[in-house]
Amino acid sequence: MDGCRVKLNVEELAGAIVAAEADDAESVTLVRRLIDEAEQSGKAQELIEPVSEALADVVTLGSALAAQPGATDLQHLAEAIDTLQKQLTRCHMARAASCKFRQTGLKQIGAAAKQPQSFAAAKQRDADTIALLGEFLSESEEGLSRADQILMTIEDTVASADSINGLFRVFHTIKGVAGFLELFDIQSLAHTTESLLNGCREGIYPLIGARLDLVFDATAMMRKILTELAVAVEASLEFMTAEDIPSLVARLQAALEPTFEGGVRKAEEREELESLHEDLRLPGPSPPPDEVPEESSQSVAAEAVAPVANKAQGSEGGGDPKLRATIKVDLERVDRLVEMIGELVVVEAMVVGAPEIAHSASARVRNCLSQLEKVTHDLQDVGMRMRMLPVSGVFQKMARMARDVGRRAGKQVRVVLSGEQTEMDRSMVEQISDPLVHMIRNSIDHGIEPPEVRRQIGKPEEGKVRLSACHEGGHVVIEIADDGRGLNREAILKKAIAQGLIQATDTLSEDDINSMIFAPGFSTAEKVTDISGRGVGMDVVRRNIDAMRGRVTIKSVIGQGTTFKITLPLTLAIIDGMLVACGKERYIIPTLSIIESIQPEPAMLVTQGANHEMLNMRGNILPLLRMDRLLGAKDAIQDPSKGLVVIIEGSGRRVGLLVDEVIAQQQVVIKSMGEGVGEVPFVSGAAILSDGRVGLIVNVEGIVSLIIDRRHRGFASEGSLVSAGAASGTK
Amino acid sequence: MNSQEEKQERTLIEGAVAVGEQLAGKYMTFKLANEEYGLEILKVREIIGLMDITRVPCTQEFMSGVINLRGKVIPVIDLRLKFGMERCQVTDQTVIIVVQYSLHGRNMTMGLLVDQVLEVLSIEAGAIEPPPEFGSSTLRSDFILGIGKAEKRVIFLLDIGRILNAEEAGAVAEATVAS
Repeated sequence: MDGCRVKLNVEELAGAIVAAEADDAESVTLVRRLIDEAEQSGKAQELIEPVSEALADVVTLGSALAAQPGATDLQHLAEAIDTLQKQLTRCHMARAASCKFRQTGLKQIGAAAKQPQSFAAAKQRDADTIALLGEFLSESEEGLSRADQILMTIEDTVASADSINGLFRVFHTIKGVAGFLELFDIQSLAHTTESLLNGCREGIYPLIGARLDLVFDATAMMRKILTELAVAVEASLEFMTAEDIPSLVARLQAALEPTFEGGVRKAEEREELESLHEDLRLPGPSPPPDEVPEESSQSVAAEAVAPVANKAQGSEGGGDPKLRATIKVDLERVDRLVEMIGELVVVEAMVVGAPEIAHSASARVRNCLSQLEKVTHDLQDVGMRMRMLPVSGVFQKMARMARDVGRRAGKQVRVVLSGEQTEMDRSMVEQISDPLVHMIRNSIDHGIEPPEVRRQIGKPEEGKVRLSACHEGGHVVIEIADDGRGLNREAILKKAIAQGLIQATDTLSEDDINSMIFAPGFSTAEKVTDISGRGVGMDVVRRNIDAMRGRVTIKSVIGQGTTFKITLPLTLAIIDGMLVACGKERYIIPTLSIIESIQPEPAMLVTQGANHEMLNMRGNILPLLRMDRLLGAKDAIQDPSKGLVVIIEGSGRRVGLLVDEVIAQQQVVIKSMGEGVGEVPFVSGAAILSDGRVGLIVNVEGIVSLIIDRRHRGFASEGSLVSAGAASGTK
Repeated sequence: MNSQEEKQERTLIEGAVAVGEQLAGKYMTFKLANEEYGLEILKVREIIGLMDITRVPCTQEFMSGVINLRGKVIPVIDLRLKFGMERCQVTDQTVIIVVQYSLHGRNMTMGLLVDQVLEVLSIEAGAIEPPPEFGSSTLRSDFILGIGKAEKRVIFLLDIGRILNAEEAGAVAEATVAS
């Protein structure tokens, strides 16, 4: 499979880079070696262009780093690796989309295609076998995700007969098909796991503690083997058995004995286990063995959350999930349809808004119009839904990751999911995964206290991270809440002053201080762990969320926990916008970026010199920008107290923007401005307004970053900016 | 006339003929002030009457803005300004010629604001001359493919791909911010 091997390498690399210290020669060497490996395997497989380009970038940066290690180089490298991972995921997605189909008649086809030759010896697999393997891989992948989900539920609550049966089925299916495909190692691993589960099913021993861990490990191992198999199939290579299977199988077998007491593990076995969690495989110190939360599953038992969790997950995990009939449609066609529906909505608004029709007295016309309106909006709804996916896939991935991260950090963490069925645009489901990973790692590593601390301050030893999603007024809201120690504002302030982000004399609101943690390179962690602390993560979070035109806010109470709230639009194709007038021109400001709009009293206006205008908003001083000067519009209102100031927020900064008036709020379909215009500052796209004219969408990020840039350059250039704006306004 | 000069002369004529053969075909001609221009007919998609143009901030002067062409947003260039001529008075003859061509593998659709559309003209190879050399003068003439002659008129045949490329407009935008 194109790039699969590279993907593994890069995942490892991404782990190493987080752990690497610029001044630690050993870790730099490790990074360097991993880059070499990735390069080698990249050469061995023909990668598609964007991937190989990104890989080349990483290699170049890696050489630079080896020559002269420095913290900024590390950060650049981390960014390059991030890009590389994204490219890989993208090509992986594209491939997955093309091969994701379920064949019900697997056995029938299989019987016809069965060849007597041994799999391991067969370098030349015929097309049918490859097709079968492809199906096996995608089916097993689905099965394993289901298994993960069930395991998480079991760990949180107790193993019900249903959930054990669910697990049993997964391994049983894998065993059957693997035997049929003559993948004997996979078969034996699946078989032993199945036997272990069988014991649980028959009530010989409960599925808790070490046994549960073993099933976790078997799942992880299975996934690892399958990935390797995928690589082998794609490259038409022999499939090499992973060496560690026999030892895992042996341990599984040991656990079959009712007397098995897997509480104590040998050190080497532990290490081996660590290496299984390849998404977290980091060369860091293992947590002390006594902190492995083996006993946690007993203590949890059935708590208040249990019924809820069971209900939410049981329907999918326990019994057979209800299969809905689906068809495969070219994504491009769906996009085209959605785009056309967008057009329809605009045209409908034009028709309804046309004065000739709006003033028509005929009740019949009005009746028809309202029906038209309803149908178009329903159609828009359906169209948007076609591109939407539930967030459950991402959430389960997070829950699994949180469990592993918690173990690595030596903390007991329980993840509570809610609202997994909330749907959002498929491209956003993909994009939200990265920020969530960083935020959850952060919550666990920095938020949740170690168990002994928690005990001392009277909190339950087990920390809780709540991941929830819901729809809220046309937006998707995702919340990550932990019950940890909360943000230490004093430490943040101290650090921010030390890093020169703010002046010691600045007065900042609570929100301002909280949002400091999003600054690039900012971290209050005294110690960089292998999980987080490098200050890259939260910067990534905000950039990704900004890219989705979303917003992230933080609420934090010291000693009680931190809540991140991410607000995202439902889709990337349509935005809610405020139509504002500036002179004779009209612009659209994305509603999500608008905090409020006010008509300022003269007393609220503060000026310094000729060019620096500010707005005193209830004690907060905000920079005031004039839209007409910024965009070169003519005949706009010059007296701020006669116009309207829209407070916009981007990258955590707020700015007042003076406009003439707010005309309307409307949904618009975002369009590119067409080839040939190039990049335009302060404008992020265009949209057709209800009167058929083109309106430009204001790039809030662009405007706010102007202020930040200017602050860095000491406000030196405002004069020239204004004159530049004025110059382009004269045309 | 010695043989070398003769040879040079012949090469020049042959060159001219080659240019002519390459460029011979149908052109749509239009007017800017008193000058006549021609566009390859295959690149012209349609001609539309003047409509509301939305100005795009921080772009070069010749970029008039963007229009809504049946749901698609396309940029419009004022050709007079592009060629350094005076802005024209809008009359009922003023139109936007929508051209479509591919540049570096991308499909570009763009509107050209012109004074008046004249006709579709067949220009033969013999009636086309290579573009004039302006030597080291600052005048750019690389967007002129050749010069066509019809009756007593002179028609500048435009290379639409060279009139504007994205880099040019983008560079302007960045320059404005950086200042």
